[in-house]
Amino acid sequence: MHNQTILCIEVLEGVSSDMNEVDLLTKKGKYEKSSLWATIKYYRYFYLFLFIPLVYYVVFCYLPIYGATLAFKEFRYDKGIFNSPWVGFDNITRLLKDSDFLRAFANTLIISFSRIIICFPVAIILALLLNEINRSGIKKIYQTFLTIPHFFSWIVVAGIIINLLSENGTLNQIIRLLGGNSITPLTDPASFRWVLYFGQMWKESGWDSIIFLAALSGIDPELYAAASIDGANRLQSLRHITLTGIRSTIAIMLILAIGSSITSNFDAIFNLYNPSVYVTADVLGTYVYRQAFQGRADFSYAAAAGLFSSLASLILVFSANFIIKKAFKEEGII
Amino acid sequence: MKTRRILALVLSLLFLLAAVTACGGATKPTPAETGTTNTTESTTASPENQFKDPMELSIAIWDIEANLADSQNDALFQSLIKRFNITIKPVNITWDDYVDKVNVWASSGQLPDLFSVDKATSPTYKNWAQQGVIKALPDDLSKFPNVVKALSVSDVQMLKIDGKFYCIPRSTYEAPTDWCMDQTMIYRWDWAQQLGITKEPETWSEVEAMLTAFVNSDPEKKGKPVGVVPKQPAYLGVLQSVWNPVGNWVKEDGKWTPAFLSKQTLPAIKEIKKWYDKGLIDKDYVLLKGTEAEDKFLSGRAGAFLGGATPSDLVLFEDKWNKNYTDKSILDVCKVWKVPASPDGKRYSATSLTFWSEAYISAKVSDEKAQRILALADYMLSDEGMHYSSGILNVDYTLDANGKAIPTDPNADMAKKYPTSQADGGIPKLFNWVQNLSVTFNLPEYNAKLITFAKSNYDWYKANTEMKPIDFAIDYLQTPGMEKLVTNYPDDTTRLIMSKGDIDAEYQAIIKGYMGKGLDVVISEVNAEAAKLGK
Amino acid sequence: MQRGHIVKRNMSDKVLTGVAFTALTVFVVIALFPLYNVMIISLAKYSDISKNALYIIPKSFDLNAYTYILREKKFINAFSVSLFVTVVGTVWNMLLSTLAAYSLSKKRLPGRMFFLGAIILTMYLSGGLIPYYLIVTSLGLNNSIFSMILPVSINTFYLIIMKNYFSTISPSLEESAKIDGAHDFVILVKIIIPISMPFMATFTLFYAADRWNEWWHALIFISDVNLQPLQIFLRQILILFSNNLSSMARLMMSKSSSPVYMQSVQMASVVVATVPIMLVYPFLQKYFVKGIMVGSLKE
Repeated sequence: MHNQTILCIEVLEGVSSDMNEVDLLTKKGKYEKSSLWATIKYYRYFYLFLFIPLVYYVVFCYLPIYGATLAFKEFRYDKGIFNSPWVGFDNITRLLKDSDFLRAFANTLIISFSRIIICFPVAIILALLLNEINRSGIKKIYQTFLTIPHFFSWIVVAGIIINLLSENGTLNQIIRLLGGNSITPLTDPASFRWVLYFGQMWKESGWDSIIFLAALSGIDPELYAAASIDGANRLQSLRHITLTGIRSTIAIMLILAIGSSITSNFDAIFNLYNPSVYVTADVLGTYVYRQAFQGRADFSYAAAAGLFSSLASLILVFSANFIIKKAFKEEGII
Repeated sequence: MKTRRILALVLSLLFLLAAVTACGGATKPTPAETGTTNTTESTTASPENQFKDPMELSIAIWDIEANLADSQNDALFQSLIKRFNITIKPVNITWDDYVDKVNVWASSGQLPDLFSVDKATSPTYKNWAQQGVIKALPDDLSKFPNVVKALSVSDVQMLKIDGKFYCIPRSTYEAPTDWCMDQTMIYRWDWAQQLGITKEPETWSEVEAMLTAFVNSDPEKKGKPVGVVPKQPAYLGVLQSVWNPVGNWVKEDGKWTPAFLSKQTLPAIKEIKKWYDKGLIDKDYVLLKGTEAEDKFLSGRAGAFLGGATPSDLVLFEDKWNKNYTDKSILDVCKVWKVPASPDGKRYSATSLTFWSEAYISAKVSDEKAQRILALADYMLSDEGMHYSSGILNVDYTLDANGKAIPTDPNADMAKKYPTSQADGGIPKLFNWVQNLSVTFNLPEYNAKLITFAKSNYDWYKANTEMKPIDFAIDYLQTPGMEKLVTNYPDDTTRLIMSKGDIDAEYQAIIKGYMGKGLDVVISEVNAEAAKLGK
Repeated sequence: MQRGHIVKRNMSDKVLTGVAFTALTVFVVIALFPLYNVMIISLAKYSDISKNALYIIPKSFDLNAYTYILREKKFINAFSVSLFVTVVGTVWNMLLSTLAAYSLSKKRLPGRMFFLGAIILTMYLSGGLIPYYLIVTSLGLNNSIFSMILPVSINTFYLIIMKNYFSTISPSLEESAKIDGAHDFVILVKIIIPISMPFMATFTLFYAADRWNEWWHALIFISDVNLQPLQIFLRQILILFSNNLSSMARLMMSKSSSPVYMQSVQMASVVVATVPIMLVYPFLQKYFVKGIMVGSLKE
């Protein structure tokens, strides 16, 4: 049953070792007692293949990681990122006293977590429903409709949402027609987050269901047959076979979604928020953007806030891992 | 096989090379550069050898791109660039993104040669000057008398850093109270009359009654309109000023405090909130962008608009209005409000510095180029330059002895003849907003009816209102603590207005937050400075 | 007994399938409604929607908004920038990702674990916006069309899936070619890629959609209007509601004979901007469902 080792495990561990697998190299007699040098020579062209990709990672990922030291400097326009003077923990201390920052930090964690808790089950339910449908034509059409919003940018999705939900949007026109008072979820701190969650649901749950559907199709049909002979009803086999069968997939997808939720939160919020909902909607990404590019242009302060974005993402991944270990009795990934 | 190997290697190298060279970033020529000139000769001869090397200036100012879109066929513009032997590369900024863009450019050393932003009253100005972002104006400005004149205005003096100016402030009005034209309310008097209101509302409750009547009616059978819509969220300040007519700092109980912390602030916000909760203020006001708010008003979807009613605003309003209403003129059916009296019984005019926003020269600009920019500035600030929107001197208009422009053809449409001449930004507003009422009331392109409308409002304000009790010397003090403190009072106000919770507690929480960030330090710094000034 | 049991099960099966089908249909209708709404508003006549009343049943078929948007210089320009970024960017993405994934799928490659570890680490650690921004600009990528291509050369997540996929390909294929003296690059191009076509198509689609939807890099690195991609144009008219359109378009908008409602223009631009995806998508769908399964599920 548990033969689906999802790549993600490997993604996260990064240390999956399959050295004992038979490899081309060892099968070739002349390299059997290969020295390291000979191996390197044998693979020399692969280093060439890897050259530009590695340059990419150094320049666009590792240089900025080093550049994060700006958090401990005071940015000067004339000195730039590497030569600005050091100021120690000055920016960090200021940050920790800044209630807007603390609010953004809390919002980041809250929104990321709740969004996943709310949106995740929908993807699983969609996959289960799709799995029940045997007519492949309809199944395919439905799947197309459900997955296509995944390929829209958040700008397009935000434009559609604004068009639906503004004072004169379609939703309010329907409400008014039914005699209700118009609502303004985009400016109401309490309902703004639900706009985000529903937006996310609309955009991604169809897409996420594909993976679950794939996992469902990996379940051995004989198990259902066996259960049926034992007198289990559909709901029982759903619980004991289906959900058990995709349990590890759920666990992994959950962790992955949490890892990426911080970036996708930014895209959605940046295009939808406004000052009246900062209380519940301002997250680290938007906070950093405003500190850096709007108003004061305080780069080192913004860089310090950015450090906490990485911290938040680590907190999320580790706690998700912990919860999964406890709740699902799965191995977890770290 | 060998050739394949080499091919693979060459290909990878090529990609790398392409990647590296591409970083240089080629810029496409803009229409302005490639455009051939078919100019009518400029009437004033250009000094030939002074500008003998052609130069390209990159310029960022609001909506310059649209302003220059048809510049090839614009004789006025062509004569301008010929006069100074320049080509202009427009770098567009909009009202929504200009702060972000300028910050981004400043940090990456990509500033255009000449750019506009409102930073001179913030600590950024000093940082820019001291960290080599912007160029100081030369000490010797004797060749540019009009620039000298612009810099000699009294409230401009505070922009000197170590004795040098680092910008040319964009003059807006001659007097601090002339802002009454810019921050006001314009409303549908025809609707009010239709709804049985016979007297122009002059008190808060009369205005409230009128707005209530608006939102409960359907005067144009388009559905119920909104009451009042602000041009931008910050324009709710027009309403707040009625209750609390102050500037940035206010002296209470012998101590200077930021206006947001004044005892009158929360009560004032509560008054606005009452209106908001009753549905008199557009529920969506914080979401409106660009010109959406004024479009609502001008198309009959809002009964009142918080914004400007200067001649240059009115021209744009009239244009849009006439597209929606063919049967009536905005100048006949709308009125500018007579600002209600404050709790102390006096009526106050909107009050601010005489300039808003500044033109900056990038530090990377050579001295030679800076001289050319200053020459351009000197011209644009001259009588002739200030009448850029009126066309070509002695062709389209003449100046009489009092500096009043007389059009040669009263029916000429300058926007058609010289597309670059009309814009709320762009070339006509490079160094000056040309809002100075002594100029705008005399501009030939505004029709007499419009001038009468604007002038009668202005005269009423001059006669019936006074300047807010603001001490500019304190209001724009710069102290070290301000560099570390980011405040956004308009956003906080918006939050309080829209809040559904306990706004007293929220207000206290906001203040507590600012204190934690260093507002307490700033307050003591400002009080110390004020004591030094004897205030 | 046995027979009755089966009949009963079939009954409950049918009921369940029916319930599932109905529930799914509800989901699909909810998912489609916003798109339907976009469509009808983009096609509505000025007089039908300017009244501020509910418009849910299409009353008119008016292509004015489309004519308007397709005549807008900025839209055409932004569309071509996006097209360039998508074509060049996707080719560049696939080239680098394929080379890297294929190399990293070689289990005995010395240093593989180090490279892989270093690459995976970047999924969880980043320097944050500010250092990233300052470094990319210091490379001179400001206001260069390549700022939407080079900083996003590789999507690490895709890279890992591709690597996993390549490592499932039986080594015997390569082995025989290798014995024949074929070059590694030739093996990749002539053997590996051809048998991975559906898989490669999947990731080409993923990358192409990412490049087409690019806005974030453009927002912070591009200020030259001539280089702004489609998404930035959309952001301006959908979210910032900027009327900063070219004069010809404005002239047309104000022409009283055929007025265009701004909302229709907004929705028409959404349609035009998503059409390329909608056209390609259904044809590639079967590949990527397969591709994702192969890449993510290892036996």
